[in-house]
Amino acid sequence: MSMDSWIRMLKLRFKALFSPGRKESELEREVRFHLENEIEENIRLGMSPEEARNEAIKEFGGMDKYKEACRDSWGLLVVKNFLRNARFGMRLSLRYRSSSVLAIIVLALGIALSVMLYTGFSRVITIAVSGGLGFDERHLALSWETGKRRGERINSQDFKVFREELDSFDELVGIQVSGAWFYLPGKRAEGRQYSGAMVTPNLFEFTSRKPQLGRVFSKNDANFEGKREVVVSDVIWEEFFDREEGVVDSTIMVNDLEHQIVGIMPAGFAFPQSQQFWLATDWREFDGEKRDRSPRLSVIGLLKSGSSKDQASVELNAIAANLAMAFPDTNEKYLRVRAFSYWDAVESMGGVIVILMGLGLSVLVLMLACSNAFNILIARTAGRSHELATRCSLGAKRSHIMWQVMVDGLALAGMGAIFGLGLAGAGLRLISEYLKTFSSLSIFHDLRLEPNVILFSAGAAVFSGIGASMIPAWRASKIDAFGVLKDDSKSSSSVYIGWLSKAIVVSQVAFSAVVLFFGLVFLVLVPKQWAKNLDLPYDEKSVLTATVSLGKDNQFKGRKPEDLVQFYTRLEERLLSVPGVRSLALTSAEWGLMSDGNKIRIEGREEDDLPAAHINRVSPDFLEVYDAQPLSGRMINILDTHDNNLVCVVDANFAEVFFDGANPIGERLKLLPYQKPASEWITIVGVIPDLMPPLPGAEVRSHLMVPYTQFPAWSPTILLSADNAGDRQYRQAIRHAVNTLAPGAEINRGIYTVEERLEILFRMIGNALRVGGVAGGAVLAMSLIGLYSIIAFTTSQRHKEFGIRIAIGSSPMGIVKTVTKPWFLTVGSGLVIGYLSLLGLLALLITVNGSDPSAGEVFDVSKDMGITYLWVVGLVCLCSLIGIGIPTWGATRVDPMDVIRAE
Amino acid sequence: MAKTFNADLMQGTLDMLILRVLHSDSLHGWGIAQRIHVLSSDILKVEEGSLYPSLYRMERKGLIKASWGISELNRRAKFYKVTKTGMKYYESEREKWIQLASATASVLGHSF
Repeated sequence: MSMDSWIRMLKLRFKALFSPGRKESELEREVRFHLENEIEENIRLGMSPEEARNEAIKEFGGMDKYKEACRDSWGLLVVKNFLRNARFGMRLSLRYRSSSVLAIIVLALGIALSVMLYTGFSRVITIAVSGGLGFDERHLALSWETGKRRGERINSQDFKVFREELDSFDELVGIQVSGAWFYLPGKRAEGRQYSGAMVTPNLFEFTSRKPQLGRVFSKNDANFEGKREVVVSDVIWEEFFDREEGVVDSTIMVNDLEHQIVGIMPAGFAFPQSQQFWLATDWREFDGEKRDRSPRLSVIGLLKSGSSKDQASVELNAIAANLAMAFPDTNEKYLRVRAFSYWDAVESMGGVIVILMGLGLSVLVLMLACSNAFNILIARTAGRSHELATRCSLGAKRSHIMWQVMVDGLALAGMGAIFGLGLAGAGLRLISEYLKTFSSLSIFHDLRLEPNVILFSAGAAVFSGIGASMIPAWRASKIDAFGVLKDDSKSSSSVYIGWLSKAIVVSQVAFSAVVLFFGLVFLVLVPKQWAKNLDLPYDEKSVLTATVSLGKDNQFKGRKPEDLVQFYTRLEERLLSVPGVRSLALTSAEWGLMSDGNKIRIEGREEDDLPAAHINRVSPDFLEVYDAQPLSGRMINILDTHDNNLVCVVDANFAEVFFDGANPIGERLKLLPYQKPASEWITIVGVIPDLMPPLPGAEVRSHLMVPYTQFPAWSPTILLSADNAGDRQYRQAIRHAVNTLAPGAEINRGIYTVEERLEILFRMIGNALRVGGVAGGAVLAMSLIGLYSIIAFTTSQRHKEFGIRIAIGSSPMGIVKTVTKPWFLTVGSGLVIGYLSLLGLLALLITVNGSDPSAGEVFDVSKDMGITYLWVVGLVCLCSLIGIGIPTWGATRVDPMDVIRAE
Repeated sequence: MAKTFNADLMQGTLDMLILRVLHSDSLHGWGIAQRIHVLSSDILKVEEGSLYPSLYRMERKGLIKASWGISELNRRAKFYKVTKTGMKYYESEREKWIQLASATASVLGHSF
């Protein structure tokens, strides 16, 4: 058929489907015309008008019958049958209300869980692979390679050199994240704080995003002549301006400076992370200043087509080398540039496996829902054996019977999908709000149902409907109509597949047991073990910590070590005079607990794969805070200043790992490539006890401490030692001292004791795991609904038998035993299989993580696992009792007289 | 007088007959039935119950197209016209039918 014919055919079908009235009236007119011509022909042949009319009508025959034939030929039979069957499916759902409700709940839960998992992982993939903006392999993030995981941002002056000299990139964009106070002119007190960015004007062109109102920056917008321009987000437009139309070109105050709003970005745009406004700049005010005083930028670039990442790296490193030669004071240590795409970052973090696991989990949950719905449908279809046999005997084809059953499944799945989407939407909103309270990862903020997710759920509904009803439909199509109609007592046996239903129940129980086990382990056992493993050699309540961002205070702008020493000396003076304070120290370990990892090179060892250790920059009194002494050699002291030889002390773990327990004093090492000057070796002068706790997931627990005067820390943590260090007076003393000595500095995330910090950490992890626990609970609920439905069906099939047993004297307990025995065996089999599967999974996990010592130390496999699994058994049995109990109770209440009467 | 046969008896031929009479002219349904009756020397009579479903089916397949117009008796009628696709279909079906008819005639022509 030609294209014209296809188009014509589709138009006709469309017209017949959506304008049936018009089509009917056309048919009517045609029939009437034919009849009139037939009458006139008869008159011409000599009949009277009345005779002619009667003869013509008689010739025509049954008009309704051939009008129906005409309608069938319009090609809408398939559509009409589909609609008819869909209506039938809905009526069936109303007829079997209880099983419909169960099936819809199960499918809604399964689809909701699956959609939520898919949304989460789809968000990770979208952001991770493309930055949420369709970025591909050619979009690279650039930073200085420093040996740390993240690298170091590039200052604005170096950025301009790269932008000027690079040939392998089409575009380079610089971003400086900053916050600002927004308010309308004259209404400063009513303003709000937003996070935004100073950017090169080409940012929006780079992201290929257009504003929903107004415009974005042009190249000249970084000129700063007159009123500065700002582009704002949809969030600011909604929260601050109530989406008023006339916002573009209006004046707004940003950090007390007049700005003009030139554009509003679409909803969801918050590049690079959670930015709500953008200001164009070229950082010209820092040109000519000392380079290390220029702001540090996040840099992203677009490779020219034809250029490879390797070619770009060679060029970048060559420019870096030139900069190091031209500016040795500031650029000596920046010799290599790291260039990576979003996907590189995901891969390096092992994200691919996580993403695949997540997607696999979505499908698994959906299949679980399908299997539950299958059990319900097979029982329901078995109950319709008589009806189906009647249809068969009236001439229904096999495909028609199959379609009848599948329509039932699809109708239930459709309703399940609608409710499931509603559940998923509410669930995603709840999770977003929950995660916002303790995670700064904006990747999971504002989770919502997006078009691709709705498409996924439609696919999930079709998959569930077909998956759940395929086998029941096939079984129903093979029904022995004669046998069923002859002998009603066997009405269900030809459809129901007892062994398959039981196998599904067994596998669901096993799956639920495994999910519950891991839920209990990660919610209860692991935190308990971690807490046990955190056997700190000091009293966690006696050390108070406060991390301070000194760089925000003007006196530290020059970043001179002497300024830090002066600050610390004055701080010590103030705080040691507070009654009860025993000692004070500074450390670079965040919250006093977590220090940075760094690659090291030990003198005399040429290794391709450099080992890593945790580096801690400390003040001389560090050991005193923990009431500890060096194990050998000496501790860092006040003579280890920035103009003396570089020294460090190591903890006992470090000596064990890197020197096999031998005395490392006198050995030398370098930190790569961070250290400045790069040429100088650091000498180990002492060994101290292990003080830093082995936190969850920590791979390396070897620490070395360097003097803060030789390796300054600009966001140090203040450690204050006192009995009951958590008392209010000490917190106030620290706050007051910092406000007085460094008014511009900020205390990050509060002042807490080590004990409180650990509680916060475990609470954060626990909260995240609770979300998983809810999912585990939903899985268990689905399994139990499936169990209940199948037991209810099989029990109802045996009502006659129970009636007769009761009539001949069986006790209710006897009936209970008859009903429950096979199902306890089934649930028990599921638990055994679950246990064996768990053993296999744990063995696999231990094998995969074998090189990670913390994996085996997380929990004692044999003892703790057994106890935890006993809890799982108890929980599953308790819940199974509910599923089994209700139909069993019904069985004991069968009235023998009703049964015999019905017979 | 020769006996009148219902064109239904010749399965698959009705479409071909309709396409043939529409080859030269566009006609309404009644006109098509009359033309077939006349061209077949009053032997073939097309039942209305077969004609209109066939016309709608062929229109859906794109073998003919329809439009409303005014008949010779000044009444509104739906006229059908063959399309290029319809012509190609007619040519191929005609070829097959002639071969079939010829073969059938050969067999029937043999004496027993």
